[in-house]
Amino acid sequence: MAWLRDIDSWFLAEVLPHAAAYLARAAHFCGRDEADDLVQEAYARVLGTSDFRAIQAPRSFVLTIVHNLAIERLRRASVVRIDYLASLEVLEMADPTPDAFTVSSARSELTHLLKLIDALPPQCGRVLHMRKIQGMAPAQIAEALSISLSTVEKHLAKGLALVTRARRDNNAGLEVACSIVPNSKRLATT
Amino acid sequence: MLDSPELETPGDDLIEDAARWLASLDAGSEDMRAFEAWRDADPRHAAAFAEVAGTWHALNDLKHFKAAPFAPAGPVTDAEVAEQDENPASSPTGSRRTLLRAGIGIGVLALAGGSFTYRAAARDMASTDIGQRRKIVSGTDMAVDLNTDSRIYWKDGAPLQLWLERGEIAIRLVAGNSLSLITQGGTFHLAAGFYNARLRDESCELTIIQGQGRLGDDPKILAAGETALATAGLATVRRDENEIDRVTSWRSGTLVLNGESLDYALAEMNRYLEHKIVIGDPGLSKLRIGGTFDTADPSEFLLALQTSFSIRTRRDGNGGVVLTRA
Repeated sequence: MAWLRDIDSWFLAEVLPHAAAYLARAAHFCGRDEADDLVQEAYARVLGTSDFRAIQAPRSFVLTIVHNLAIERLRRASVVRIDYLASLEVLEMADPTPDAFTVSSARSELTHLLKLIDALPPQCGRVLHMRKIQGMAPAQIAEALSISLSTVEKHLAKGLALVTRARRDNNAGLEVACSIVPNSKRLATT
Repeated sequence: MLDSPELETPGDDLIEDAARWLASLDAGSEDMRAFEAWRDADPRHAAAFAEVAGTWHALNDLKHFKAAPFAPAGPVTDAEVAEQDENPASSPTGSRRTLLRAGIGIGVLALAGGSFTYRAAARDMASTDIGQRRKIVSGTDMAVDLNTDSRIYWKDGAPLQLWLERGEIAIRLVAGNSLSLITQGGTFHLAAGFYNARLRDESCELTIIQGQGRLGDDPKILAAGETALATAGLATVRRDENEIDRVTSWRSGTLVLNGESLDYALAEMNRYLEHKIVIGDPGLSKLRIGGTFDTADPSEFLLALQTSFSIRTRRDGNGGVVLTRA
């Protein structure tokens, strides 16, 4: 895609596929609510790297960033779950093999995507279907549905955003099965 | 376009912003410069965009995996294709080799002779004229994009066989398949992946975007990121970071130039044009050009030449364009 720089393509191919692992790690430290935000911040750091080609193991690299960001946050926080702080020190926390996280098969991801499209608001789903599955150009879609090009654009944007969000939630779902989050609830003030 | 509201929670609305940018880029209603300014303003923007682009990409695969349930004996019409697409859950039936179908934008499958008859031993053919692009899907196993002025034949089996007779193609081969790509420069044996193949004089240039392959009986593995120029069955391999961009940009109808000479730029541009652009002043040919240009409409390219290098353009008697110094 002409819109993607090298670093973006690399990010897509090497970093994003392990989203579930990053989320699991982040949730381990900060809880589910903050995990998304922490991972987004880690992504921003990764994309801010000047020499991404030097990164040998993107997955571990991002996990380390998540870890470090979590420590920063925890140190700033006024209330900290001390079991987390303890576990920060022993962070030879097992990183489950990538396979545990990668989507079970390409086909199941595709079935999932199809379901997501079906679940979109009707016109929105129709436009996305025409653009991406039938391969029609935006202008053709506008003509076929008798709507303006900018409306086609709005539907596409909306559909894309919804599907992207849903994929993210799907990843978060995968995390539950694989996470090794301790359940203790001890609190301490710092 | 994006008059972003002040009260936005990062994470969520960035995805929406990024999706809006992607949709506008896709529809061509926003220019790259504005987009780049937005993306470069904050790495969070870049991350959100990459995530949305990932979805966009994944949806592409949907197109290739979707089984067409039925291939009629006559040409496939828009209406029929639309009907099939309304029912994505319908299961694939019938022999896989009959499941041939072009994208709806093309309307009618132009197979050999203009109509599609089932011939067990025959090859199927698809071609494009100058300036055309088209996508051909062979069952659920393979999708081929044809660039301007190209012709292919293909035949089902294990491995699949694909003949590139003219022009340039991009091949996406689904996992579990292998392909023999037969060209005038030699035969490539390819595993599942994503490839670009282009004929040049007596040779064939294959770029491996994803996947791997071999040329003929040579045991040497050609890996992702490599470009092999096959001439008389022998490969010369090179690796060039910019190559991937260059060989994939045509699928979006753009020509990417990174400081190539005007000679080269015109040769590339002219592949898409019925009325060729020629250099009327030899002194111009070594000019270096950079940028991304629309191959369907050369006016943008000509305007860039005019404003950056004060090159004058005039039409010759046959509709061609001649470039001279102003």
